[in-house]
Amino acid sequence: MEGRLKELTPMVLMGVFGIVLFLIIPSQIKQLSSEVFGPRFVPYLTAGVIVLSSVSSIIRSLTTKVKNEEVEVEENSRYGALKVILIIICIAFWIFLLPILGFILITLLATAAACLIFGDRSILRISLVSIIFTFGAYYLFAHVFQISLPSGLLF
Amino acid sequence: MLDLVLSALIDIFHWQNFLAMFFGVALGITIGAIPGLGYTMALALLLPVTFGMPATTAMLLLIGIYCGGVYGGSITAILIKTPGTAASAATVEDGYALAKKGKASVALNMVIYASVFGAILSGLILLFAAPQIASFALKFGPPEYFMLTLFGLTIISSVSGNSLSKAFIMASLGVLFSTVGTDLVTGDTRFAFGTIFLTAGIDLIPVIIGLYAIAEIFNQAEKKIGSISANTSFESEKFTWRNLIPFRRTLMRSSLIGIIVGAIPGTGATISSFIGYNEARRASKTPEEFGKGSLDGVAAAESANNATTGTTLIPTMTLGIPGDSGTAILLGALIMQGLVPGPQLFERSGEVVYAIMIGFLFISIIMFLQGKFAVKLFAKITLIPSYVLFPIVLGFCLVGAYAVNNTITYVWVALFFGLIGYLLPKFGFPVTPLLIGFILGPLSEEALRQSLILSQGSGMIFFTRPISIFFFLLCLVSIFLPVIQKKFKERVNAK
Repeated sequence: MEGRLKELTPMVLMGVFGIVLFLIIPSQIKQLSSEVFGPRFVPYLTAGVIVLSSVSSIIRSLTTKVKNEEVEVEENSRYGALKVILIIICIAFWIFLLPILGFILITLLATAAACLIFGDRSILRISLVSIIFTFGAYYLFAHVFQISLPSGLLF
Repeated sequence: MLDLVLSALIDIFHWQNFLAMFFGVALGITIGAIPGLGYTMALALLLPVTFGMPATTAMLLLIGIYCGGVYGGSITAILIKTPGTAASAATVEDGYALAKKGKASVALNMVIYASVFGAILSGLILLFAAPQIASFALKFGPPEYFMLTLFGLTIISSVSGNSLSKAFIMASLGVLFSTVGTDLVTGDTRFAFGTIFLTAGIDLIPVIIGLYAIAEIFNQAEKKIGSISANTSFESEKFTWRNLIPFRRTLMRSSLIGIIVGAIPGTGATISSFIGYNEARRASKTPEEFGKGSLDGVAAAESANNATTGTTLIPTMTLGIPGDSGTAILLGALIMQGLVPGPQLFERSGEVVYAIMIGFLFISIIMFLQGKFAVKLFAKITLIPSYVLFPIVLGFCLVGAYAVNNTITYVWVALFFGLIGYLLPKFGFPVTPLLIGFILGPLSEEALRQSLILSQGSGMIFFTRPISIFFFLLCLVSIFLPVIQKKFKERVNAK
């Protein structure tokens, strides 16, 4: 039962997404009523494929027996999920603070944080990796490729 | 012609031309390997520098960057599952799987040998058949483009994993994301949700960075492994041209695909690599190994994308129509040097044109020597501890996504696609069909709608033109042949 539910849930969600897509297309894409192959044509086509594929998958799932496969649960899966969330927070901080702290400071902090999340516990190595990467990347992008990197509001 | 070839050969060996090719390839490989940059940016940066150079030197420098960039994109695709360019996306699954098995050196060697094989074959076609191929390319109208992209989309069945319906859903999502922004036919905005940044559409680079690199960083953080390579007692294996013998058919087939696709304006190396990969899988006796570390898959994708680089210069030089963004800059460079692209280019500037074409062959050889030298160094990247490597990769992903258009919103886009690439495969949804849909979607949609406008809504336009019918038949073969072969095998086994 649990296996079937696990198989069905994403397909049902995809089907619902396809239906929502059908409903929002008129509000998101303007089209002259006379046009058949206008800007809405391909979005409607993709929504149709998503709904049909989901329905066919759901029917197949309901009509076939679920294999009794043992699901491998990693011991550290919760810990792993926590690390993924921490990486996402790290990226979000980089994005939010880049215009305020500037590229060098926020990249130093974000790289050090990522090293810690990935399990490095050596302060010396974390410092070295963060400093070398940040200044190396800054030199490469800002000076070699002439890409303007934010210097921040504080400096 | 012979005197022009001899004159070009003498010209090539001028020290400044040789240096330009050498420096161009090295720069192309380096920049191609950095996610978010790619050869287009390198070409754009170097274009003003070439203004004061002689025409041959300038063009050889830029073509060196272009070829090196296409090759360089595959290095990171194999080592850290991050394609430097879209053209290397077809190499990711097999190349990275090989790296994880401790065979990064073999995969990198296959990349350089297959790339050079494709590039040299393409260079020879460029040298001997450019005008003939240019006239063939002119026959491509919207119906032919549509059927070609449809043929490219049939690869979805090859990379579908366990569920074809899930692959169709992902490909549809890819096409859907590609429709975001301004409609190229009518100018109307689609799915902008009242924002300005979505009006411009979603760029390919942050999508690739997210789907592959950021998703892989999440996976590695979750698993907690020591390093990418499972084989810690890593030793580079000897790899020579003899190692290519088992792959000769794949290399020839994929190179020919790359050559044909390259000659068609507006297509490029990404499409050819996916078509080459698909055809190699279809013809393989062990298709189940594709995506799990098949050297055949690496050879197919790499020979196809590099075979495109030579023939893509044909429409650029003879018709004045660039094949992709890279050749668009090369076209600009030609014009900047006072050369007028078009059918008369061979007559008016024969010496420079032949120097470019022969130089292309030498660039392939230089690329081989530089790549071969660097393989041992590159392969050791897979042995770097993950707590050092992945924070650096993450940093490159963030700054690379930002550098595409100097905007922070592209980093959000990369993060969004990173979450898609991390979460959806957990429920059996394969990522590659999404990327294929995203790349081929706009080309396919534009060609389909233009064709139907031309035919006033009649679908018969696709079945009245020989090239269009040819690609349609290829689509049918690509879809139904594996099914027929499978049924046939089952019957034989049952007996």
